[in-house]
This record gives sequence, C-alpha cells and structure tokens, in this order.
Amino acid sequence: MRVDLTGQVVFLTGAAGGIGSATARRLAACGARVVAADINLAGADQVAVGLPDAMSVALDVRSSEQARRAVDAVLERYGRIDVLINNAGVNTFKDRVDIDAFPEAEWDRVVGIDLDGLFVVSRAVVPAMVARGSGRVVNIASVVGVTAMRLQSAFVAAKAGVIHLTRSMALELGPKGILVNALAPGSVLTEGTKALFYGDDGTFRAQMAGFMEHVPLGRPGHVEEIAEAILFLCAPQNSYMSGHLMMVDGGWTAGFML
Amino acid sequence: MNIDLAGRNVLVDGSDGVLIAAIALALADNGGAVRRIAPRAQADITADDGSLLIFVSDGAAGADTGTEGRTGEADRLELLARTPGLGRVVTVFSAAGIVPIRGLARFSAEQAGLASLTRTLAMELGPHTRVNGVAVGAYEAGGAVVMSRLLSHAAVKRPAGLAEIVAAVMCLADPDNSYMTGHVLAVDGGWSAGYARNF
Ligand SMILES: NC(=O)c1ccc[n+]([C@@H]2O[C@H](COP(=O)([O-])OP(=O)(O)OC[C@H]3O[C@@H](n4cnc5c(N)ncnc54)[C@H](O)[C@@H]3O)[C@@H](O)[C@H]2O)c1
Repeated sequence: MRVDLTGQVVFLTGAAGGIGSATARRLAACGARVVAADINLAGADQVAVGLPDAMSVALDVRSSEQARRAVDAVLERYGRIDVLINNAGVNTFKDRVDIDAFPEAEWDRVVGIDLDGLFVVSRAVVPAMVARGSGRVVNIASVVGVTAMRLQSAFVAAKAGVIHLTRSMALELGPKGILVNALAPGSVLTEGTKALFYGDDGTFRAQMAGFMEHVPLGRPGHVEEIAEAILFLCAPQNSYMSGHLMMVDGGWTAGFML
Repeated sequence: MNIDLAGRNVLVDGSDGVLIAAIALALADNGGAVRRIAPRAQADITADDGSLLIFVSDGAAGADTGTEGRTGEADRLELLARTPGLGRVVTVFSAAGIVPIRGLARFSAEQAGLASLTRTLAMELGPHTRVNGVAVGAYEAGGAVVMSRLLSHAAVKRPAGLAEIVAAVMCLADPDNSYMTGHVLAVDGGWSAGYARNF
C-alpha cells in the first residue's frame, strides 16, 4: 500500500530487532522520521543511520527515567511525536517449562519488559500526543495473547495483558484524538525464532514439522509482512479503527484446523 | 492510501447502496477491473489467481429490522468464495457480528455467522485463497448515520466516513498485505473494544 507519512515522527521501541528494523525501513520509506529506540543502542544506531532524518536513542523500556529523557530528546529535535509503536519484547527461550517450575526471575523479566515496559513508555510518550490532540499507538502483542500456549506462561500472560490494555487505552484516549490498536504477529522468521523453531534457511526443525499444519497459509511470516500491517495502523486514511487487535498470523488463530 | 490492483479482476457482490458504491469505486480507482454481480443472480463467475471477491452484506448497510434481504447471504458467500482459483475474499458486515446487540437477536446472529464463515473459509481455502472481513460500526452515508446507536459507546465520538471503511477494505485487498487471513478488522471507532463511558 502507498501511504504518505511525510513529516510524521514515529517513536519505535525494539527498533534494532527483526520486526522493529523492518518497520523502521517501511515507515521511513513512506516519509516518516523514525526514532529508533532500543536497549541495544548499537543496533538502533545501525537502523537509524540508513534512514532520512532519523535518530536513535538508548532505552530500556523498564525505566521511566530513561523513557522521559528519550521523549525530551525527541521533542527537542522534532517538536512532536505522532506515532508510538511499542514493539520491544522478549520471550522465554531456555526456560521452556510448566508453571510449577517456571523461574520467578524469568517471569519478572518477561512481564517486566513486555507488559510493564509498554505501560512505562506509553505513559512517557502519550502526554505529547494529548497536548496536540492527535496521535497513534500501535502495541505489538502476539498470537499467544489470544490463544494460550504451553511452556511460556509469562509471555502468554504479558501479551494477553497488552491486548486488554490496548482496549482500555483506546477507550481513554479516543476522546483525546488518539487511536490505539494492537497487532498480533503469528510465528515470524527472525534471528531469534530461527534459533528456536526454524533452521537458518527458514525450514522447520524436525520436531516443529507438524506446527505449520495449524496455520492456513502454511508458512511462517516475514518481518516485511508484519511491517506492512503496522503501516496500515499508522495510515492517516485508516482513522476509525481503535481498540482493535489486528491478527497477522497466516490464519493461525482463525479457528480449529484439525 | 493507494494499492496496486492493476490487471486484477474484482467481483463485487451485494445490494446497491452508498457503501458498496464507494468500495467499488475505490477498487476501480486503484486499477481493479471491477464487475458488480447482481444480488442473488446466478453466480456464473470464473476467477484466476489474481482475482478478488468483495462480498458486502446488507447488514453493513444497517438493515437492522426484519430478515428480508439477508436470508441466504451465508449460502451465497460460501458459494461465491469457493469459485476455483480466487485469490482473495473480503467480506463486509456489521460490527453486530462481533458484539451482539440487544433487540437485534436475529440480525446479530446472522452477522456473527458471516464473521465465522469468513474465518472458516480462510482455513478451508488457504494457503491459496486469503479470506478476511471488515466489521463496520456507525458511519455517515448521504446525510444519515447508519447504526447511530453505537455512538454512545464508541471511543471515537463520531461516525465513520465512508472513506474510512473503504481504507480497511483496501488493506485487505492489497496484494502487498500477504500474511493476513481469517481475520475480521473492526472499523467501529472502538465500539467493540469495551465500555466507552464512566460507570
Ligand atoms: N518473531 C515472532 O515470531 C513474534 C511473534 C509474536 C510476537 N512477536 C513480538 O514482536 C515484537 C518484536 O519481536 P522480534 O521478533 O522483532 O524480536 P527481536 O528479538 O528481533 O527484537 C526485539 C528487540 O527488542 C529489544 N529489547 C529487548 N528488551 C528491551 C528493553 N528492556 N528495552 C528496550 N528494548 C528491548 C531488543 O534489543 C531487540 O532489538 C516483540 O514484542 C515480540 O514479542 C514476535
């Protein structure tokens, strides 16, 4: 789709990652000025350096102090924030165990970044939107926030929290001119998921072979396909959707496939 | 928001109305070879990989009383969607298909049926055919507001304009939007998200 975001300032967390960097490139290609925020500053730098009028900021989404400073820096440079994309997120990779064995520290880490961090950053950014009476927030959730899965209870709970928080944010911020939506990626090929589920070439590891039988499109998603859907949630013409959860999952959660 | 439908056949099915006219116009403006199928006409259609079917329920036009006009819509949608070779299907119906409305039992159930059919068809017709839907809330059409009762509970305190509904149809019709299927976009100003009032 062709969308004009010329001049719009997009604050993007987790910008150094797979979905984040693809989103930064896609939105910048539509004219947006991207603020690449990430705990991995070197990675964020790399993303921002190739994009016109972009900047990078170091940000641990758990820190309200860092979020405040990042917002100050952005407002000083651009004077506005039009779009916030809460994309930073982590999942459990090594502690794939049932809840009776799930490490408390891992729970705190995942919920702390995926849910608390989204609250912290939103709280820091939204006032600039309220002041201008317009804005967009896109929260990156996950299919597991809709359809529960085993062995990742913290991630499941955090992403379900993100989805419902999106709805309450929409109800609160709608009258202030701000649209808030969530997007749930299905299984998407990134460096992280390659290590966990897929071989380097994107084909399935043997034990995951049956997995894609549950996905009507029969394949994992590509980061560019997630970025395309995020772009729609930022499009000026798409101005009556709010509080919605957009599934971009190849049909994985459409229903019971077997 | 523009998409590239050059060289694609677009079949549009549904009763005449401002919404379907706006959708058909936008699809044509974006390069689609649009053909309207007369409602309940014999479906003698053929399709190729690039073709799209846009199915607009009378329920999207706010036909919220009685049953006339909608009976048989699910049968018709299923028949058309199973046209061999079709690349994409976009259904358009009322947000009452997501959250039922008191006093509109039959209407809500029929619209929910279209939502469920959209998802089931996605599972049955994938990976070849992508099937998605748009659930519309209150919108302004020719000076009147369709389903205006929804406004008291919508986060966005105004009805949609036709162009805002059209934007969602364009998103789902867009060949570049390639990993969505079995999903229903709610274009309802947040009406289905929760209670937009302070208790
Ligand atoms: N890839 C998938 O299959 C998939 C599926 C569902 C949901 N998601 C979600 O999509 C989003 C992006 O994921 P991805 O696949 O691109 O992962 P990724 O690991 O490639 O990127 C995540 C980014 O977040 C950053 N980050 C981690 N902790 C942070 C913190 N405390 N503060 C700031 N930044 C931090 C990382 O440095 C990294 O750059 C996440 O919210 C993830 O949960 C991904």
